[in-house]
Parts: sequence; C-alpha cells; structure tokens
Amino acid sequence: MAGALSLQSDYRVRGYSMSHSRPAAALSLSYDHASGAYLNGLAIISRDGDDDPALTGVIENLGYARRLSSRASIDLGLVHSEYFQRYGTVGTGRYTEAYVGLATPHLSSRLSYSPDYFRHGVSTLYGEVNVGWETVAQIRLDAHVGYLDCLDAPPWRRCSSQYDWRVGVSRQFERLDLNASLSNVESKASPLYRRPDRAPTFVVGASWAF
Amino acid sequence: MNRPRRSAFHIALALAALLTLGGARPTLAAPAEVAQAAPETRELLVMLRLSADHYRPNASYGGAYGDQMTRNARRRLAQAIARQYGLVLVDNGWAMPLVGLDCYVMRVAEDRPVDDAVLQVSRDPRVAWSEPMRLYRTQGRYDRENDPLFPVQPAAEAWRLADLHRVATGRGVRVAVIDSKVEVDHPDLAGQILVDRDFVIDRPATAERHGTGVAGVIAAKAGNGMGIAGVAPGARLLALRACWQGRDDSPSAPTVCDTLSLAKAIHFAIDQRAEVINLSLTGPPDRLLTQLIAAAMARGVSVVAAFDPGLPKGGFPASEPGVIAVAAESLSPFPPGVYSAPDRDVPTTQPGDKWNLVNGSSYAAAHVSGLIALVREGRPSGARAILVAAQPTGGLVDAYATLLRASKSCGPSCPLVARNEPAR
Repeated sequence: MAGALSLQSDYRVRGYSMSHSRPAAALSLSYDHASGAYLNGLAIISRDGDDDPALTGVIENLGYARRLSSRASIDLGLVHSEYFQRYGTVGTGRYTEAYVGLATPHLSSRLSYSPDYFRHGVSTLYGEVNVGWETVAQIRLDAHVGYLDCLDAPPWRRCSSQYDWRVGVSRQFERLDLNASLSNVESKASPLYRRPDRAPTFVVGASWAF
Repeated sequence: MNRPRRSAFHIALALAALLTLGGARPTLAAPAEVAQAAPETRELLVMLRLSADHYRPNASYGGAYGDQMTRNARRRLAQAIARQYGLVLVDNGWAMPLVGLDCYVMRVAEDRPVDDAVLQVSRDPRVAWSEPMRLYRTQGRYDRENDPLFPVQPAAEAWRLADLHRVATGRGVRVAVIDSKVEVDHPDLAGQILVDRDFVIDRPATAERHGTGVAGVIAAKAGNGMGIAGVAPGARLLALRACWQGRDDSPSAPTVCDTLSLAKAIHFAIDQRAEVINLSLTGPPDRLLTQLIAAAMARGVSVVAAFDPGLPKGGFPASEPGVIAVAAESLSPFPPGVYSAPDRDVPTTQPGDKWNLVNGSSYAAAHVSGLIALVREGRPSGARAILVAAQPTGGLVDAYATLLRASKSCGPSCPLVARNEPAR
C-alpha cells in the first residue's frame, strides 16, 4: 500500500485543465499485489471561482502488470475518470477506458479505448508515448505525446481528433518530488467542449510520497 | 449536493477495496531459499519482489510509469520485517529492476547467528529470499621490491601486443572494471575512464591499488611516452568501485567486496551497456549475483572472472557457466573451460601516478578482458567472443589467434595457423 499527496499549480489531463486553471491538490493511493494485480485511487480538489475548495475529480483504476523480460512489462486494465467541470453550464464529464501498455525503464506507451469519452456515444482511441530519463544530480527529464482519435460520435456531438504534448523536469528529494512541465493540446472540436489554450501552459508542482 | 455525495461513495469504495487488499497478506508463489555458505559479516540481504512497472493515474509524475510511492511502500515493508525479526534496517533499499528485486541490508545482533536470521526471514512469504552478506577477495598481489617502471610487459612478447594493436585497440568498447577505486587521473589512465562510480557504503576512498592496477592492464594509454600500454588502449572503462582496500595500508592488506556492492555495480554496468565486465575476485556462490551475471550474459555481455584453485570450482563467479574463468599461468593441469593469461611480474598503473609490478590471476583476468575488448571492436554488441587457447577446452590463451579468428580477414584455419606461428 502506498500513497502520495501532490500540489499542482494546475491539474491537467491530456493538455486540458481539470482544475479551472487553478491550483489543485491530489491524493493518490495505490496497492500492488505480488500477483501483478494493482489498484489505484485518486481524488483531486481545487477551487472553482470563489467557491470553497471542492472535489474536482475522481479516478479509479484497476489493472494487471506482468514482466515480459527483465526490462519490459506489459500492463492492462480499466480506468474510470470523473471530473466535475463547467462546460458552459455545470456538468459532469466522465469516461471509462480499457488500456494496454508496454513499459521499459525509459519508455512507456499505452493505448486506451473509451466507448463514451466525456459524452455518451463518443468513442475514442488514445495512444501515448512517454519518455523519461534520469540525468545528473537525480534530475529527471520526461516527455509525453498523445493522440486522441475520435472513432465515432453521434451527429450532434462535436468530436475531432487531437494531439497533446508535455515536457517536464523533476527532482527527487527522498520522499519529496518537485516537478515543472510545459504542455498543450491541439484540437478543433474537443468532446470536452473546451477550447485549447492558445499557448503552452507552464505547471509547477510538488508531491510527497508516503 | 448530488455530485460530492456520489463522489464520496466512489472514494469510499475505492479506499475500502485498497484497504481490504492491503490488509491481506500477499501469497508469494516461490518457496524461500536459504544460502548455505557461512556468513562473514553481521549483515544479511533481504530481497523483496519489485512489481512490474504500470500505469498510475497521477499527472504529476510526468507520464512515467515508475514512481516513489511503491518504493516507500516496500521500505515500510522492509522496516516491518526488520522489526518482526529483531533486525536493524541498514539502508533504504536498492532497486534492481533487471532481476525484479528490491534489496535491503539488515544487521543481526552480535549474540545471534546470522544463519538463524536468514532462515527465519527467508520463510516469510513477503520475502523473495534472504542471504548472508558475503565477502569476495581480489586475486592480486603487490610486488613492492621491483622498480616502479618496469620496461617489459609479459603480454608484449607472449601476446604480441604491438601486432594485436595493428589489428584492433578495442576502440569504443565499454569495459566495466568492478573493483576497488581506480585512480582516474593517473597519467596513463586519464581520458580512458568513461564513468567513475562508487558503490561501497561508508568507506570513502581515494585511489586504491588493485582497481588501479587492473584498469591499467586493460586500458592504459599506448604510445604516450610513459608507463605501459594496456591490452585495449582504445577501450573505455567504467570504473565501478565495489571493493575496498583493507585499512592497513600495507601491500598485503586484502582488497574485499561484499554482495551488495558487487550487485549494484553489476546492475549499473548492464544498465550502462558495458560489453565486458571484469571481476578479478573470487568468493562463495551467491544467488543474487548469479542472477545478475546471467542477466548480463543474456544481453551478450562477456563476463571475465579470476580463477582461484584453492576454492571449489575455482570460486564464484569463475564457477558460473558462461563466465570466462582465467587462472594464473602456473596452474597445471587446467580444468576444462579455464583459460590462463600473463599473471607474473606484470607492470601496471598504481595510485600516486606510479607504476609497479603486480602478480596474480586478477591481472590474468584483466588481460583477457582487454583481449575481448579487442575482439569486440566494431562488432555488434551481442556478438560472442571466442577465445583460442592451447587446448580446445582452455589453457593458455593465444591472443593473436583469438583476434585473427574474430577478424573478417581470417578464415576458419586461422586459429591453427596462428597457434603454430612463433611469437615475435
């Protein structure tokens, strides 16, 4: 059983802010069983306007990972994400994805399928590649690119493909991890009914593992 | 409000599931195994299984799969195990993803046999296995009665070193010298060291004799107007300190290593894509080191080790299948699969910008590591290096024949031709 508490200047998922472009706190709990099965839970809290801090998002995840070799492991599972956002009006965006991933020490990739990505009937396939490398003085550099393919959507739903990217740097101090990243998304019609930011967003954060 | 209530329900469900599973004791399939060799320290190594890398839904981790959270969880588990069995957790653990293990050092009280603690901890289903921390000794002797600059290297004649260097110098081949501290700024070694890392805990050191000597035999600069020429002066060394010189500074003070420092260094060498790993040391067999050496060889790394005729099967790791065991030339008869190379009165680099004569199978192993670097020059990293020796199953290495056999210009008859040629 493990956990982490993190603070971010903005909580972003696939290039979009899920915390109204405001600072957010996230609590994550995780359990890895010796069989390879694992469970993750994450709760995100942020402020929306002048309201008191409130629950902004919840992610529940279960999966199974297995080593293919000493350097590579395969990973598959389900993740359910629920975000409480304002998309013009107050609303809830949620989706469930099935994913399969491949991880090596410096490179990981994942393919996720959702039949109802934020909106009913909008099916998507999201592919991502993440690269991470520890450099000198325990400074880690990482990069992410993701591509969301809109497979199907009802005629009255807006949905077009999008790609997002992120580059980051982090430094580990025992249990404390400090990180900074720059990210953005390119999309013509997101199922989130949100416009992408015009310029890449800079995010700083800290995470304390317990 | 409906939303938060529903969310609270989700969180409660998730936490309940996590706590339920967290409270359950994981059932581990493999039975615990206890090492048989007599321990030499008051410490034991406790191996916990490392879970496979997987997705974690936390954007703050920059998309990387691995994270600090599970490391903390394993450390807490190690602390609980130490408390339960009356041990002291010595360090924060060392993850070895190549063999899927996280390794912790625990200390046993003076009044308790180490073997008992190993037996108890090994039976715990949370533990992959446990073993005593063992010590390994280098196989070299320092000859202080000779002049520091000895002009003749045995390999110069016996191995036709100048001729070898016309064919190859080991250019760009990474050789890991897992040994004591190498003097990286020695005038005959400066620029030859790609990486200098220290894996020995609590024993800081400046340059030490054995590591500096072994490094010189393998890759001292050639044609620089001083000292000696290494067997593979074009190779680049990973100087990985896993051994330490005895506190007594006399030449007879032994140089020793322990299981954990060796394991860390071997893991690092594999990670750094070393093509040759030189282990001029011997000791008792060890499960963790066996796994790491197997992982290295599975990646095409040549592992060279010193052979000690005083230990069963020449001692570990020379006894491991696939490891190139190298003995002193004086050994007779040679057991099958054991090679030999120059080991007597070998001039090599020494700390303090010096050179001196050394003896022992440590330096014979270093010669062979250098030769393998020559063979591997310009070849795919996984290519196997085949030694040509006086007998089909081992014995005195014929360096020139070995190199010619590996080079493209030489046909299958090369070994015999080369073997029968008189040395120049």
